[in-house]
Amino acid sequence: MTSSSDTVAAPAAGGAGTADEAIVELEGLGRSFNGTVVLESVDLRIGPGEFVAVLGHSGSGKTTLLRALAGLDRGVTGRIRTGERPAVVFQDPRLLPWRTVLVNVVIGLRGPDPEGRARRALAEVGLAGREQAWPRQLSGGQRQRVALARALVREPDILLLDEPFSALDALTRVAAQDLVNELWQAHRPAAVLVTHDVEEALLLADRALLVDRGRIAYDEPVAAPRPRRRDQPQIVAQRLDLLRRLGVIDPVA
Amino acid sequence: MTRPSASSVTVEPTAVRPHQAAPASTLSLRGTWRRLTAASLRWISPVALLVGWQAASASGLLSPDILAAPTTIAAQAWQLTQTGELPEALWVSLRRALLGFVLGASTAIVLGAIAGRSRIGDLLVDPPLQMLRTIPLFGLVPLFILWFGIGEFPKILLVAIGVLIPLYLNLIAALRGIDPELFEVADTLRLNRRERIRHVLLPGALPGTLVGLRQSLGFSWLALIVAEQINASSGLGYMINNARDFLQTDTIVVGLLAYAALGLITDAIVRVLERRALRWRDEAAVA
Repeated sequence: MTSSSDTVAAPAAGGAGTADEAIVELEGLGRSFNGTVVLESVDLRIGPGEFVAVLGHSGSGKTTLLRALAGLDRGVTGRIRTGERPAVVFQDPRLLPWRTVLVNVVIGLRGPDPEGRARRALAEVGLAGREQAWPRQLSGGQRQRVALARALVREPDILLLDEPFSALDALTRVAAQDLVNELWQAHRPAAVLVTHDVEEALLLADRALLVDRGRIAYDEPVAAPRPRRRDQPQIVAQRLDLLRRLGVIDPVA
Repeated sequence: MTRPSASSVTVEPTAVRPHQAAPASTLSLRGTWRRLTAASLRWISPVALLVGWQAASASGLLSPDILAAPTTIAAQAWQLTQTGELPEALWVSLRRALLGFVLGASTAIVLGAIAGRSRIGDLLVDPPLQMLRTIPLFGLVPLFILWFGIGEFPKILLVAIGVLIPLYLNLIAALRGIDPELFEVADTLRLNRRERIRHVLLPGALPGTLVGLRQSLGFSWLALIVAEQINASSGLGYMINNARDFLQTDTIVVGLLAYAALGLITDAIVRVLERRALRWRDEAAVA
């Protein structure tokens, strides 16, 4: 499993995928809650700039994996090395409702000119001019874009996305996926996207993982060249394969 | 607060009459006129009561020993203000309420912070306060007199306890009610302690705390009135009790109105605070 990830990481990160430069290295990662094993001996290596999608059923342990990568879970066992500057975008935007959009982005930001950087990040996600709005005055899609700006302004070496589009309506979701793709291309952090949506995973990621009962059951590169479209033959084929592995009844075949 | 809605309810059914095809401008004018009449209608019964009261007093039906005439009360209020008796009494009562409020509120904040933020603190602080809550506050008066005599301290203490309980209860409920996911965000953003308190903890607990603040302010006036009834040699309660001994019903009513005015003023202050602090909620609701 580790060897296959190395070969995938190399092209995505422009040749910077050697073992000692990996952003994420997990060896024998485990997690159990009150005796129930959620993750079991997970080995994973993610190179700089690599975009990995993590698929799996509810309760498969994929969100637990992401929380471990974010450093939010102190109960994991095994060897874990993750990014030095992880940033997380959750399923819901989790903005502070009592702070303006700008303060939500600027909060906790270190270094020179935090406010200018926050304004630029907001402009990048298409929210220039809404700096002084309250989060409740924004739509769901706009709030999620604020959450993206808040994550990106920290210049993360790993961007962790926990089903960030699942609460959005279908049209907003497509726009948000495109935005994430653009931002990732522009900033090139390593990225981990946890999702239920196979198509979304294949459109965005360099590599798709399938987590099943706490283990990584599938770890393959996404072969389709970029820019990606839903109807690329490689995408269609890999989608069918993944849906079959997920045990979803295949509607097309 | 319920007044505008009540008046609009009474106006609405007559305003929307399908066969009245009037131009829009006349309609809105008529609407304004109706609202104005509705507003003035609200004054009819209070004014009638006042006039009736005055008439009953003037005709001798209502003895001044039972209740003084409104005009006599107004004259007495002016008189008491002129002599400085009323301002002096107001100031003494206000000072007691303020001291008691500051003592009770600061204790509530310290205890609430201890109990709301740590498990051990909660176990140590919460039980005695829950016990104190079940004791009727005014039942403590005899004990307070035995312990502290009849000076200023037992009065201030009674107000302080009246403030402490509702504020403490609302404060810990507010602290516990903060979305734990926001603390997780604070973790991922690597906020330091100060930023956490300033951006998550304080604003998160503020709405509930303000509810507690209003409750406890209402309670502090009540506690003050009771405390001043017991025995006081100054303040509004003293003024009222003294007037009772001389059957001066006009002075008693002036004292009651002064209490009411103090309560209204503090309530208005909290409401202004609320409006400023909760802009993020109200402005978003309007948009």
